[in-house]
Amino acid sequence: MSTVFPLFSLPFLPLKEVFDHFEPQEILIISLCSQRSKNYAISYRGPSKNIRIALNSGANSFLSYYEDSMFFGLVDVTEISKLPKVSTLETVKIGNYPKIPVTMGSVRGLTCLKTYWENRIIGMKEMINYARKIFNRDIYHVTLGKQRTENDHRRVVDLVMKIQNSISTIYCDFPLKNHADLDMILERCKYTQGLSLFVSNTKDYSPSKQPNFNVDSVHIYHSYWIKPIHFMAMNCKYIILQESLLTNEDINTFLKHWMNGGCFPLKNLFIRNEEPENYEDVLNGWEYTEIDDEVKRDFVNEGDDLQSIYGGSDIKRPIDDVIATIKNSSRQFRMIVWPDIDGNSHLQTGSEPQL
Amino acid sequence: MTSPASSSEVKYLIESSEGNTFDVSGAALRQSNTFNAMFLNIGADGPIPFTDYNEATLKKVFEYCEHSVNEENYSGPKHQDDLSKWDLNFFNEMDQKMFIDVINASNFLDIERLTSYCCERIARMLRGKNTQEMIKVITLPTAEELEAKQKVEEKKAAAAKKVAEKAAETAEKTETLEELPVQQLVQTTRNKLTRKYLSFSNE
Repeated sequence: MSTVFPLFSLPFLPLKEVFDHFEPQEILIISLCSQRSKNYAISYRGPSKNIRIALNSGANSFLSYYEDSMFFGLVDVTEISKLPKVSTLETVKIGNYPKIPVTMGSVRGLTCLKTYWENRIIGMKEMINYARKIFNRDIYHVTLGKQRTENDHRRVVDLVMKIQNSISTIYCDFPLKNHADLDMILERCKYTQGLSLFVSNTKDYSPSKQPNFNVDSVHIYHSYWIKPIHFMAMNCKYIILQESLLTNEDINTFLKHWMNGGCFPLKNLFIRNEEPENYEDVLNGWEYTEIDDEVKRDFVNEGDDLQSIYGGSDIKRPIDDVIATIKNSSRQFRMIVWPDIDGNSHLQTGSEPQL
Repeated sequence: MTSPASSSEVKYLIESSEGNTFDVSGAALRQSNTFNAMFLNIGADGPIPFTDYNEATLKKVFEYCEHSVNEENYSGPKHQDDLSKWDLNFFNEMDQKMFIDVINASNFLDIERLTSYCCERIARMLRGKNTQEMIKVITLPTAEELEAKQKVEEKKAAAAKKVAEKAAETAEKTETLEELPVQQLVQTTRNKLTRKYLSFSNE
């Protein structure tokens, strides 16, 4: 069969079905081919657009998307000074910029369309606007890596907030040089569902304002700076605090808070301590049922993975008889509130040991 | 047309755009949702006219339906890698014109499985292409071609405007009864008579 195919001469339904079989990246590329293909890509509604768009700003600036916890490349934004000089690239119109050089390439191992701009921030702005228009959805997630130039994080956060006011989740992974940088992110970035901070060098950090901990998920890796005042303000389904300095008393106070209806959405709490802490005493003063170590119960964790917990201690929240299982050791504390997100109960026993 | 007890044994006559007729089994035809909606319950007295499609296309479409009679019920798009050797041969032996005709006919007859396979095949054809390659494959005009086309259209429009202006100027200068074309002359006279008649009736 010939390699030429008049795609847009197809009737509406087959054309839609062809788009249903496209990857999101192909929808983006075809939208850049002509005004007609762009119009169709915008008006198309179907499974190929069921994605979560992520903006990544760090060593590279690019848009990616994720489906089923897997990331895929969409479009990269690079300064024109890095344009390969060996060949002349094709150009496309993006937003108000009629001749943007583009080529297929890869960024951090993800295949994507590489675009070249005089100004990277303008390029990011144009690509965010373009992707939002084509996929009819907001940027879902922002990743902030190591800044390439000073104030990069500020520019990116301001840019995204100006365009769409809020994002669902944010992930920060960089060494903190200036406490004001993290303050700025926590204050200006309106994340509505999840906060993941893998920001290192935070030993002396203390947020200037109480961060928003009223989200589904909080995951803080270097969480030395999380004080009881922050911990008690968390109102989340999932809380993971690693390298924590929270004490036995702090957790005991949190449990009291939970027993009285605080942190009501909680499903999974995991704390790993920097220093050995006597978490074994955390249940002092509470009535609990000791569960035999051979009893295995399955639960779905914050990453949607099925895990099993062996033994532990069951406590009951008096206000609604909700059961939580607590499994503690000298350095880590885990609390699972039943039923879990998938409806698994504390009475069900699992089959495959994983924990 | 016969009408035995089992619908799989029923043969239907199909009429193509050339007016030719040929047999298709009821089981094969039942894969067409269009047929199911139109004829399955009420039956058809004569040949079923699918006269928007030629005989070769319809035969190709029903060849596919006959082949997949015994396959499991269709449950959504299948990956192209799951196609059997027969399926692959079926698609590979078609030229592009036939392929497009088959998609159109399959779409009209609403044969989900065939339409879906055809569409996935097209999507695959475009997979991994950059914009320039995509433009070439889907035969879209390039930006340069569009620019050139726009320039030609602008030139044409400017020329047409000039002609219209010139015509208007000439018309202004020569608007006398003698110089009017015959049709316009007739219309003008008719208008005058109507006005005269109206003025009489008003009196």
